[in-house]
Amino acid sequence: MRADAFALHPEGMASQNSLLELSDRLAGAVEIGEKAVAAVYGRPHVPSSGVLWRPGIVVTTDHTLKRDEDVTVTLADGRNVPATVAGRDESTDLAVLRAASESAAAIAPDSSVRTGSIVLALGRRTGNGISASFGIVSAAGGAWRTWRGGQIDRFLRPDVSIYTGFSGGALIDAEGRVIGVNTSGLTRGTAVTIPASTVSKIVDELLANGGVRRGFLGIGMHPVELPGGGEGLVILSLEPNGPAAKAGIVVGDVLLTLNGEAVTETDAVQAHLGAGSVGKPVAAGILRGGVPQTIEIVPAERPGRR
Amino acid sequence: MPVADFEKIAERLRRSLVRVAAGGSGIVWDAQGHIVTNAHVVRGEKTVDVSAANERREAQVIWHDRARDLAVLYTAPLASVVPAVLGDSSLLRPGQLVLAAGNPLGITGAVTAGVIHAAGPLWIQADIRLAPGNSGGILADASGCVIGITAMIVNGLAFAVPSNDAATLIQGVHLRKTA
Repeated sequence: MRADAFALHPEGMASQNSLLELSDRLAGAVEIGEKAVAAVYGRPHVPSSGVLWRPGIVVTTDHTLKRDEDVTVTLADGRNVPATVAGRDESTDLAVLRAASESAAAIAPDSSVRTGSIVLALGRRTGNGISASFGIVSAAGGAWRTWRGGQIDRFLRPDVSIYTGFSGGALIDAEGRVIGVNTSGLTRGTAVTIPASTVSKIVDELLANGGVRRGFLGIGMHPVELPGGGEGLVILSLEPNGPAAKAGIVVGDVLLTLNGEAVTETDAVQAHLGAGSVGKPVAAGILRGGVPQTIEIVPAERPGRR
Repeated sequence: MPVADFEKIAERLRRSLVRVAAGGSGIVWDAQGHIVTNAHVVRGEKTVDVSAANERREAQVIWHDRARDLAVLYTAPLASVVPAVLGDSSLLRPGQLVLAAGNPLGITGAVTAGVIHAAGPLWIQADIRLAPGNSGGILADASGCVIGITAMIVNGLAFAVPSNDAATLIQGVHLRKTA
């Protein structure tokens, strides 16, 4: 049948073309990347996906993990192994599991991911093996904060279909390297990718503390324009005995910088209070009665909302 | 250049594509005038209109199988078309590029690109944009060989009948010899 058809199409099948090369490369990327993608059974009906981040460590999305016990993961070789929840962080929508897995994801360098880069999203489901969808990075921007207050190093939005069960799965590049973890739980409508650098940070934090400890200064502030030009944040309230109050900040001070970086909106302050900030002194550049000065504040752990 | 190859392959696929009935697609299966489409496109009719470029013919529905959603039509060969080249649908890998050619929403010969999502036993699942009117059309690999007949969209995923299954079924049908 094929030989017959070929005769009708002399320029057909056999000819190698560049599209075929790209096709082979993408399928090859899936074969490499899928070794680090697991199915995670932590909710009724459809499993979600997970990424084998390090040997013994599986990362998935917090919003798809509906229970903390009886969680199992299915690995690339088809083995279904039990997993225990090591920690979860709803602010970045990540959860970390411990499971008997040997593989670890190869991570793509941050600088290699740009708007327009070709990417594939991978997910795993029961019995069906790996599933892939294809597209490009439609936006690669700077740091951002999720609606739950999680600090993400980079805004990555893939123009890729995130099908049911794809949350917690990997976004990979054309070499099969992991760019990050996909989730539909942080934005309405389209999915975003949590970049690998943020995932690694959260994994460290969750493994060490079981939760992500975020910094807290104990100040209420509002953006103001300064009489001499420029902008700052005027301190409107202070948490009694909070870190800022203890450091000597008073209501009416205008916050200009943190560790030398200008802060003109509250999000910029939050950016200094992400994972790992608790207990590390920050230098606050303030204006008091028109006189600039620097006060050191030691962020405390933000009181939990759980 | 991938772009040049893409255009070349898209053009070749279009030449093996016909319009069937009100708003469906069909694949030119051989040089004898056989056209393959979905059973749901012909809706149990005995004859349907088939057209390509400026030609329009009435075709007989000589076989259909609702379970596999396939139908074979026969008409005197159209001059402007070239038979499709069949690929091997048993060799598909998730992530490999696929192209779909069809007549979605009344647009003639539209081509979209995507990848194999998962190769199931009964259906090829492809991550590719389709719309009503793609039914009965071509799903091809990156070399322009037909690997499936696009049949439906489920939760945004394209489902296609594997070309090997279609070829086996159709070989069992007594295809008409040259008229």
